[in-house]
Amino acid sequence: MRARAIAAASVLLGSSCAQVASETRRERGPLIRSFERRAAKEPAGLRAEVRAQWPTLELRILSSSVCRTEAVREYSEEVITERSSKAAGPSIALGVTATAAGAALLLLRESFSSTPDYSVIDGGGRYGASQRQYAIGWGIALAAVGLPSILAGAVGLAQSGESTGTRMVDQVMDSNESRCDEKPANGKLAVIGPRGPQEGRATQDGVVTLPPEALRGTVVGLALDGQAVLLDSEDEETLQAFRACARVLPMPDDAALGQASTPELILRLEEAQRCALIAGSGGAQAATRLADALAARAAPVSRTMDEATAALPPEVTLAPGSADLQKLWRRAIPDGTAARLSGEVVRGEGPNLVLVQVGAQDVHVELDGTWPEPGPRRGQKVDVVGVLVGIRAVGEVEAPVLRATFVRITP
Amino acid sequence: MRARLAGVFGAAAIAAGCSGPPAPDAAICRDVIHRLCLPQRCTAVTLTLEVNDSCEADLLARTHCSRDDFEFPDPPGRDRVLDCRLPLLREGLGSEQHPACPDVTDMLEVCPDLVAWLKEGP
Repeated sequence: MRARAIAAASVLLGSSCAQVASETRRERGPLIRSFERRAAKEPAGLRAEVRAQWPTLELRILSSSVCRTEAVREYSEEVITERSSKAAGPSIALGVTATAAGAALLLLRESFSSTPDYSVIDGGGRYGASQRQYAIGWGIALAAVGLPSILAGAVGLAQSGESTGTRMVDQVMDSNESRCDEKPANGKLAVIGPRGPQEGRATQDGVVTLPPEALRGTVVGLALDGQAVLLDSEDEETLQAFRACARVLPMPDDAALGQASTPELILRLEEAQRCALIAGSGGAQAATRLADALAARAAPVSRTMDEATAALPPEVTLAPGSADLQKLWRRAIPDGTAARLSGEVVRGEGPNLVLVQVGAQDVHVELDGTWPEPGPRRGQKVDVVGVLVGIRAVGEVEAPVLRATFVRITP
Repeated sequence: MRARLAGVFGAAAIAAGCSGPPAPDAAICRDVIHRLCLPQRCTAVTLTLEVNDSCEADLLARTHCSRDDFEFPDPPGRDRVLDCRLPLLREGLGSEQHPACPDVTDMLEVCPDLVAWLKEGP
């Protein structure tokens, strides 16, 4: 009897747990305003401005920040919260039923017999309860369970509904970044070579002057007190031109030029033409002398591959799958090496510059004259004889440059 | 405070709903004797209390609890009798519920004062 009562009470109590579920959604309203705002500045690191006046290279080191300006649209947004209690209805229904049954038992208790159950004496020496006592006990228990159930259901119903709030929402439509807060940075500037940084030179008001000797070798980068110094593309070009001057100048006399090999002359010519960008360097005159030396030495323009390879015997063969191509990929072939290349045209990159693909390796082919008729076409197969004159970045492609003396389109 | 009142009220209500008024000593005494003598009577009852088929009548006569104004002597006393009666209720509260013989044996071993009273009377 007691176990049944506990089970019934558990069922009724369980129904009284009327949980309230909440769901929130957002709806964008009209545009309130558009405005610009400045975002927090971020450090942009170090950069250098390069000025070259042969024979010195002046670097001005600057530290700066990145300033971001954002175009913002501000909208109003409605935040709508819906609350519902699915258990409220059943909770009230069960609560009302239980309470009504309990109340009925209590109201009608007089109609039940008050005579104890004389057929039973419990362990405490008492007779069994009368029917009226059972009615009162059940009536109280049902009311005690039903009333909280009604209350919980009512609370759930009261909490159900929809509430709406409004707030402002920013949406960044556009963002512009610019360099700002530039100021000279002082420290010791070191040129970084393949073996690490060279001896640093102290800056004064952010300015330091480098001699040609400091830049004659391979330059991996620049660092101020260990912090990388970056260059804009124009400054990088000026630095590379100055380095070309450092390698090609001073020019040897005519006798020495006459004894230099053809590939060496071609390489020097390449360097001299780049050096011509530096004011006061005399790079243009050097290029003229080298071109004259080459012209005096070269046979009439080669018309066949045999003539071309006889005039400039290739030391390496760059063809798909060749061992020399692997060396080129590893940068293991020195500048000034005569080479024969077999590849496929990717695209023309300028009036006298064509990107050629040899296997998986890209090579810029530079030509003094004009490309054979009908001009460079994608997929065109070519044989080229020339001299490797270094690495150059053109657009997004950084690749070795082959200065061609002969180009043949193959079927 | 309100919670404590509700708890007390609930406990009282449940307690009131589960049992009636205290039974008089005579009713308790008769109930004990009736349970002990219900057929098939346990051997321990026959041997320990030295009764035969007229078990119930003999024990009622020995103890005088057939009288309506009967009250338990001390010893054993009402509380002691109620404690000793508990093993007889393990099979059920109904007056015709035969107690298990091991429970009867337990009771007779644990309650020598009750046994003495049942054997010899007041």
